[in-house]
Amino acid sequence: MKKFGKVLVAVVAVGLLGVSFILGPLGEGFVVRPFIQMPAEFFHIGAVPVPNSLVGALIADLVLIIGMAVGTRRIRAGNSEALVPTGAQNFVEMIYEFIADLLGNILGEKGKKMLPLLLTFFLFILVANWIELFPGFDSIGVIEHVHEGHAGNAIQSAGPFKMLTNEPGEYTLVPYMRAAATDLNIPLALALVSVVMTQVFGIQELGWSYFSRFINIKALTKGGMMGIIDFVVGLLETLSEFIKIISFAFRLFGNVFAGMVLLLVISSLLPFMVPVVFYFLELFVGAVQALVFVMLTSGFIVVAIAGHGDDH
Amino acid sequence: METKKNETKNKIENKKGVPTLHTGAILAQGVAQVGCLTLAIVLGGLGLGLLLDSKLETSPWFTLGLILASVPISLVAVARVALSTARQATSSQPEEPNEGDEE
Repeated sequence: MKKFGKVLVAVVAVGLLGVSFILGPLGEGFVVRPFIQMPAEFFHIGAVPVPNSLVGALIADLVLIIGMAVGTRRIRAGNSEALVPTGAQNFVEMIYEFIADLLGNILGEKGKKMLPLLLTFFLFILVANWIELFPGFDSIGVIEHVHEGHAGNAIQSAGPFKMLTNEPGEYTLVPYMRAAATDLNIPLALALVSVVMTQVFGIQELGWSYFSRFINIKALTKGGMMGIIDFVVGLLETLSEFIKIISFAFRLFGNVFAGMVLLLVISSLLPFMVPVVFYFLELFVGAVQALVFVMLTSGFIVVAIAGHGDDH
Repeated sequence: METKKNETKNKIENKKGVPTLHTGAILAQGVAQVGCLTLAIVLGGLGLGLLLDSKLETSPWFTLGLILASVPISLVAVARVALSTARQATSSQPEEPNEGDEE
């Protein structure tokens, strides 16, 4: 019986793969080719234009707030039974411990102070990236007329709804929801918070002498060639802080946006079975990007709080 | 002996349990690589696939094949870079200073 089940699954999988090839590359024109736009699309609620990436970010926030509220309910109530975690509390404690241990290894005792910020980064980026994989993201929205000069599709009615067809026409889809990090503004905002907070932690740890890493007057007054080199290195450090913002923002944006494009393209080329592989890849990339953001921020905090000139 | 002394001098010892500047830099470098690797490999596969398809007029087979192949390759590459960074970061941790090694 078990063998029959396995054979049935294999037959269905191969069948879907075959249909995928017939609808995709072998049968050009069955599937609607996606229209991909880099800036977030806007739809209107009354007269208010709403970017769809904002909806994605708000949904991620809502999921996090509700998830955390449910997961920490018994702890907040001061329930003594909360000492033995069950259900959602297990999950929340698992994530908390994972990030707390990670920061403990990188930042030592000081990791505790940075934990709220870095845990928020991790959870927000993770949920915002993974939420894109739910059906409806990038695929449900309002059908609007295309802008002049752009190719569009025809539409057809499906009950109370309308959908795009593969026939050329003058309509396009503006999705209601899009992953937050596929809009450069959100990774840029996260990058700014990360870099500004790195400076704040640096100043808290080293006081105003923290700024000597950027404008090293002491090195200049020391004189000599090494003094000048140290001063110029300080100026390069200043430049590197701005480069950090760009690298943080574009790394997250690039990975998530490329993931979205990849999913849309593969789903239009081979609509069944094959996209599963890429959904798995996107799960991996989403988690790695959240972790990379947190580890880079903590790495930069280590560099900031270690101070400059301690090795002289 | 002298080299070891210099190595220790180059690392900024943290007296309050914070790892060294050196470790932080290794970590930042490795993690930054990990962050871009998947993207680079998948986009590389896509670009090469498109190029080969347009040259050989085989659209979309090379594109599909190379994009599919880029998935396991990128996973393995990320795992390798992450492990090598972890190894470097661990080996760069300063040794516990002995009583007599203060100065």
